[in-house]
Amino acid sequence: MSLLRLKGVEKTYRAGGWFARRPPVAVLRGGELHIEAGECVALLGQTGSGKSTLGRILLGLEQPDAGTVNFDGLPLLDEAGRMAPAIRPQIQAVFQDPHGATSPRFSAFDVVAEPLRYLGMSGAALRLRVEELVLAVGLEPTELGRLAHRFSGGQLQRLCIARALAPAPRLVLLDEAVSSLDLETQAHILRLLAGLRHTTGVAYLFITHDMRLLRGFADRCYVMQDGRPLEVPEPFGAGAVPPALAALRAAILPSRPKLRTPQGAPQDAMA
Amino acid sequence: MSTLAIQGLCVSAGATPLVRDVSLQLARGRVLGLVGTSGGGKSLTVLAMLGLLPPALRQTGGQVLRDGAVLAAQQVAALRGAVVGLVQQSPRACFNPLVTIGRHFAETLAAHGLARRAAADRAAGLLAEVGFADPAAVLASYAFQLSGGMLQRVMLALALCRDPDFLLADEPTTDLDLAVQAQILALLEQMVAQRGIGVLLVTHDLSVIARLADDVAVMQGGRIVEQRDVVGLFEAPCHPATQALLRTHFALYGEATE
Repeated sequence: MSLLRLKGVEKTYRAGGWFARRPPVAVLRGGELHIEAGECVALLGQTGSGKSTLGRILLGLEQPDAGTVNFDGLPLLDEAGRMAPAIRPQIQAVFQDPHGATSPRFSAFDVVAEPLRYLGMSGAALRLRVEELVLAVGLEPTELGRLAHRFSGGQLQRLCIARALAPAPRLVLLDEAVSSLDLETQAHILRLLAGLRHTTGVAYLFITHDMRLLRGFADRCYVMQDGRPLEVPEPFGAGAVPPALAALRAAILPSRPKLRTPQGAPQDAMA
Repeated sequence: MSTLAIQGLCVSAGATPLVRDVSLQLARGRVLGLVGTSGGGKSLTVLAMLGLLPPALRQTGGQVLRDGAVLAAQQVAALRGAVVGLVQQSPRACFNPLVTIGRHFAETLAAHGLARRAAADRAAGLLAEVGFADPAAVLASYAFQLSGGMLQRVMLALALCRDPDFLLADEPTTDLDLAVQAQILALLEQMVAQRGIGVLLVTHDLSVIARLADDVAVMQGGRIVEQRDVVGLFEAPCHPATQALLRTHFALYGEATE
């Protein structure tokens, strides 16, 4: 049984305002996606392809218009669109912009402690758990008193990861979680996430538009094609790939500069 | 050849030095890449070239030179827009949400002495140049109605309003997806080829450098640690900071390095 399984999920957004109605936009049009326990699954797609909407559906923040979302074989939401309190802590998320995802009034401690307080933790036990979590993401517990927004982007993203792991989830949604960080910080965070997966057995859904990040990180890969997640067995393979993936592959910049003449004109322009 | 340079730039916040003795030279028709990890002083260098450092910071040394001649503070201020255009990261934060894109253009062009019909025509022409098929629709829209990639192209068109000789592009593609990034970089390349603009391209992504830059300066801890032609830098990096950057970069592509 899969940890999470989406089947035939459809979602349409109403467009325009009250005075200028526009035709609704169909963002998701079915398809199937499943995540096994402890697995890291990548979901690729361009901006506007519906990958974040899919993420919001599996967090239970949006209700699909059609189709089923099962967590541990049971429906994620009941008929009224509510999530069972026992399931909620098991699915967590890390978003792209750590500054937007944390309160500027919170200290680092408050950021990580917030989900634990909802689970009824307090006092010394809370302090101990928070310290354990920040150590796991490579920060010093002595820094917990600082305001969260005084941290750099990379450090604040580590705090967000600690917060997501706090309720011991079984699935973490990483929605462009490293996209706004610089190259070396990206590499650090991905190594950290891979390590945490091995120690905690958590599963990831890694949403990104940059398929270079998949290598050595994701076990399986989906791409959003016409509003449907489509599994791609070998994203870097020589065989045929869906057009959406081919477009993402074509957008990867060269790893090395072209040979240029001293004047700066590309040589192969003449060849 | 027309040049714009900064020499011996030092910036500090109180007693903490943030930028130390940085010298860079831009030439028309060439792209100089400035690369390094976050917090290395790249953006401060860009702002100092336009005399736009935040008031809390102090410039303790350095001067801006145009064609080899040192410029006074007022002359540096006069460069803005007219000689040097600026394109920044996160286009969404750079536009006024209360007025249309057309108003943004009208304001900038009015500073240039263009108004009404002439200004509208010029704005439409610039938007067409950055690849909009229907400039009139863009001019009538608000920033929140456009995507990040579209806004970045609008910002580029705005920077070109007064036909500058140089363009400072601070992380112009960092928040954009790869397909849009490719489009923006192609546009910058076209500006260099057609208008002969000299570009300072600030980025943390070496693939952007590989795509577009002729020369590269690597910045770390407020200093330039290595500066040379792009091919040489990729083939044989000298400084440990450059080597570390290239290692992470090649690892992304699954290429092993020694």
